[in-house]
Amino acid sequence: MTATDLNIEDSNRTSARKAPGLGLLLITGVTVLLFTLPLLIPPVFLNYAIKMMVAGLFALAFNLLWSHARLLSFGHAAYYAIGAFAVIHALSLSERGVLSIPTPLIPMMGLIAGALIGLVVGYLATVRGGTYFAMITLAVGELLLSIAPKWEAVFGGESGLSSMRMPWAGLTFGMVGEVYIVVLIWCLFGLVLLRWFSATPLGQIALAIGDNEKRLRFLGYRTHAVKTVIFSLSAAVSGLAGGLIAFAMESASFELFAGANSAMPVMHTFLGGADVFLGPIAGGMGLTLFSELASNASRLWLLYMGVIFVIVMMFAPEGLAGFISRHVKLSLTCWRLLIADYAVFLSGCAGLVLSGVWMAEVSYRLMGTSPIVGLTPDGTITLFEWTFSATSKPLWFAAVAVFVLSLFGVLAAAKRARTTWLTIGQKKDGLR
Amino acid sequence: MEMLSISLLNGTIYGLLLFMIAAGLTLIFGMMGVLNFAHGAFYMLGAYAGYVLSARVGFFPGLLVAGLIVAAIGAMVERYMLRSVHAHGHAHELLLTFGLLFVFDEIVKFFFGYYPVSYRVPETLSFSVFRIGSLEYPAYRLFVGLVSIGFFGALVLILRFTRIGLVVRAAVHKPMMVEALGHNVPLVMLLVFAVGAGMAGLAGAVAGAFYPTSPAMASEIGTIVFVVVVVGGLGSLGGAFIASLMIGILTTLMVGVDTTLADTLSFVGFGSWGKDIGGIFAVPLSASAGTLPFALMLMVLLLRPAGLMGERT
Amino acid sequence: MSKRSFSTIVRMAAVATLSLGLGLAPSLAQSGPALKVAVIETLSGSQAATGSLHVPAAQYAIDRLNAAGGYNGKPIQLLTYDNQGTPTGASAQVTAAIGDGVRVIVQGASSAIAGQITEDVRRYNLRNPKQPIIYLNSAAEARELTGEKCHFYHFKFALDAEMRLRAAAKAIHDRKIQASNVFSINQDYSWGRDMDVAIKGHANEGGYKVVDAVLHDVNRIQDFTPYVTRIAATNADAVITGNWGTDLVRLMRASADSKLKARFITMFLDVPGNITSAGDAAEGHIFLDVFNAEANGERGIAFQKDFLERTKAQTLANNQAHTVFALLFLGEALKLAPANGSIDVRNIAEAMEKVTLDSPAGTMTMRSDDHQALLPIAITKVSRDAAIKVENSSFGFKPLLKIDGPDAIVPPQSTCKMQRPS
Repeated sequence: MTATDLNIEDSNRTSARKAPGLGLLLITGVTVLLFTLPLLIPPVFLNYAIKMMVAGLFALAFNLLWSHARLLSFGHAAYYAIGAFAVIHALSLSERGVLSIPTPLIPMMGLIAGALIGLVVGYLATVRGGTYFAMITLAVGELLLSIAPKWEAVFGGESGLSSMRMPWAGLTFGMVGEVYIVVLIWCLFGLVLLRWFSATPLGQIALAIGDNEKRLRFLGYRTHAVKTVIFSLSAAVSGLAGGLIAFAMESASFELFAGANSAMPVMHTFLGGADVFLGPIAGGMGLTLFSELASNASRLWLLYMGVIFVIVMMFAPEGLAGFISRHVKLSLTCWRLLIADYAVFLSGCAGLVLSGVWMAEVSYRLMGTSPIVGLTPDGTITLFEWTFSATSKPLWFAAVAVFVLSLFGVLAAAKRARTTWLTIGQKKDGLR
Repeated sequence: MEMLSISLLNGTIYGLLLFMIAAGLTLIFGMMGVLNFAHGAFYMLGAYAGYVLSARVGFFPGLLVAGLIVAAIGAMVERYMLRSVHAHGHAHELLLTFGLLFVFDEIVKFFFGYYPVSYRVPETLSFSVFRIGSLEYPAYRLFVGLVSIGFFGALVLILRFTRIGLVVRAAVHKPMMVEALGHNVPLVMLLVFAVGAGMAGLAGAVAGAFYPTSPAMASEIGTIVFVVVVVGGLGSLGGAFIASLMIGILTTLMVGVDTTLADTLSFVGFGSWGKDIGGIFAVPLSASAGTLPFALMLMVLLLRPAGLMGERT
Repeated sequence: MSKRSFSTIVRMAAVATLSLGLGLAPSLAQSGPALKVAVIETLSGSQAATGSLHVPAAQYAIDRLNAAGGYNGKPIQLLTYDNQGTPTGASAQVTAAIGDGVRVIVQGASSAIAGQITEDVRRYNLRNPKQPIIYLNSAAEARELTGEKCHFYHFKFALDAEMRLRAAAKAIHDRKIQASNVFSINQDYSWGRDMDVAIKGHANEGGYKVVDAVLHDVNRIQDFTPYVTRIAATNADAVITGNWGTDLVRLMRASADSKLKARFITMFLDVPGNITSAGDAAEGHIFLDVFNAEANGERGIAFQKDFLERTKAQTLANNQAHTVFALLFLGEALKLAPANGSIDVRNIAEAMEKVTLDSPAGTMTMRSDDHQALLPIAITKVSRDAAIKVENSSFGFKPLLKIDGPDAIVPPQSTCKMQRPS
């Protein structure tokens, strides 16, 4: 036991020692940029930024369970929604003057509600592990999804509950910028909380549960209690995320319990990379931005999202952030050898995306299955200010050619890069 | 009495349909340890394949071919997708199927649009078998039940009495050992996955003619079959059979019961308190027929995670 | 359309970057004073089926208004936003639309999203009283929208459970529909419960008896046969249901398979795909909503024909008709509140109360107490004799009775305390 403790301290110390100056500078820079954002970008993008940060926080909270205890939850919408309702009720109480909490502190209610419900559900759910745990969370999520529409007194009717943020300390909270700052501070708080937790002894034990739970139990740890605590913390931060959304949107409806909200953090986390601390944040922010921009640009955006997810699961199972950081680490040492392959690979990817999207969009219009997008009567299409005939043979030939060539290029480049790594690896091994 | 017997029959038939879909899911789990989230999508693909084919090759051949097509899709998913992420663990396999559910959903909308398609029961089967009270009993429902029972019988026979069944059963327990004995376990896995997907596809083709065929099918059936396989015991075919009948009959019978939780509380004198709270306390049981399966699943998971007949825990 | 809003975002991003570089705040207010109208509907995901229908309908109506001269000397612009099926998504798109300079928002496919949009608009108008936004609710029926959530800039062109049942009760009373023993089956959430209350509440008016009532989980029931058995056991001769989507189609198919004798009185049967997938099961059942081409004679038929030609759609569903009427109604208000270089939204909103729209469905006006439109209701029967057939099937909606707006409306709710701008 002492040996493990020592090891933990060792690893902590080493990670803390690693280039503190540069990291600190980077963190300060990003924080300053985040806080000055309202002065720089219009309200629309601030609103997107709010949704992105909340999605990142939500994914991070979800990933606490997976990255530590290897527990996969399929019902996190429940805690997200409960946090949102706690905040909306608190907001309307403060609007009616019953409750006097400073407006910026109200998202705290989401945190508390999430923690409480998480404690109860977590105690029950973490009795089991693996698929059974996933199924319990799914069942709890589905149960709440069924109950919420029937309980109008608590969850409102179809059109939901709504309220208004009350002015506090001279701030009206009517501007997106003010809301953004509140959400940002809470998100940073959540981030620090989760980061801090990972570093505590409890967090380290939770990490060990994921590796070998039986062994820990033999060592005398009460693993069920530990799992209950991290579940509760995960639910609390999810509740905070939901609370922040309710705070920003000033309403909540039972649709928050929908399965899509449970799927969201799963996709965000694994797309971004579950084993890199910032992976879920990157995934959450990236995918949210993608959905905001793509949903207005294409009717097929969900298809693209699904395809991206499947491709990442197949070829970069460590997630995009994990994939990129691994490659950066690998190739920093020998970038000269690899740069050509990377260039071919990236341009091949671009070619695949462009030709693939073009073919999908054009054939969707040719199918005529959408009530919104279709062909003009003369069979032409306008995509991004470019008008062309949907059945033009040269265009289709070019698209297919680009697709096939890019695919070939990507495969060839990946193969060559892999060989290069292997040779380098062997050389290193030989030196050792 | 009449009502009770027809409700029992209705529940049984619905249960049998659930079994047809769930059988593949539980087989795949038993064999590969993967909970296939895309299983509902195979059901939907089967319904659409049946819709397209029945107009071209006739209804009954269409059903068979639809099942085969979905089996082929399943085989490809296993061979070219699942197998390559197998090394990364079950969680990644599960996530991959989760992503596939999204993709299949969108692909169906891409080709067939958002709205239900007109896939109908053939003339030869749209007659009534008997009457109870003022209601007639459609022959097609009995057909659904018969197909499902046929499937159950065939599966049990194959698994119990054939050589391949023996290998499959052995591979469930000790895949390494079976491989060491010279059997091609990956091929067995491929076959099991294809058969499981094909069964869901056939079930979709059969059920799609009866319930509307629409892009919402996959997600609507997806969670309820999870309930069936969990309650039956993950990986247990017999358990899934009993669980699907149980859920079918229970949800059917509940429709006729108007007792609320508050009424139950009034036995202990808290009735008016329950009514005041409202929400779940004031909802009659008949309105919870869709909720009950999840409550059942939760109870099973907490009290007896192996389910009715499961072996793995 | 969707492309346009994307390019707007790109343009805004470009403007933002440019102004960043120059150290200036983004100034978009100087762009031309054309009136911008936004459709914020669900265009992706599982609810896209209904949401998507509103887009071509809005485009059709805007094209008509522009053909008649537009507004403020410029064509009215239509922008399309995808709310991704969630209130959260809708809220973000409201901000996006306002950022793009939109002054009128149209939405109606979902009451959950309507609840978010109407509250967003109300709060925005409270915080920006000088530059208000109008929300035209084309088809979201939740009664809270004109009840406790009502406000001056929300205009509802949708019916609700009470109005629908009032019309149905009148038709039953006038013996246009045969119904003496009624079974009520509805979805267990606020809409279904409103329907259930309305069905029981209008029993005396219609002279029918509610023999049994049941609520069920929304979109979770695969097999409706148990419900059909329960209906049969009560010997009901009519079933009134507010079910929509698959819950409606499944219920009707299950009852047709069991040859249930009862007649269905439905609210959303004309959504594309419903008649197709219900098949012969639909025959003889009742459907009621605002617009029916045949009920409005040649004018109605001409309108439907024009709509189908221009949008290249196969059917004109009522939620589309609602969107068209809401925008045509806005067009009349624009005539009463002409812009002189700048657009005064408050003027337009006040003019909305004075409009009398002679629509292809009949006369429409706006009640100033709660901004519920007075809409006519046509009660129809699915029949092979209908003049216009639906979706290449052999059925159409044959009108039985038409009720004018003033007779169809129900009294305003006491919960609506509308603050008029001073």
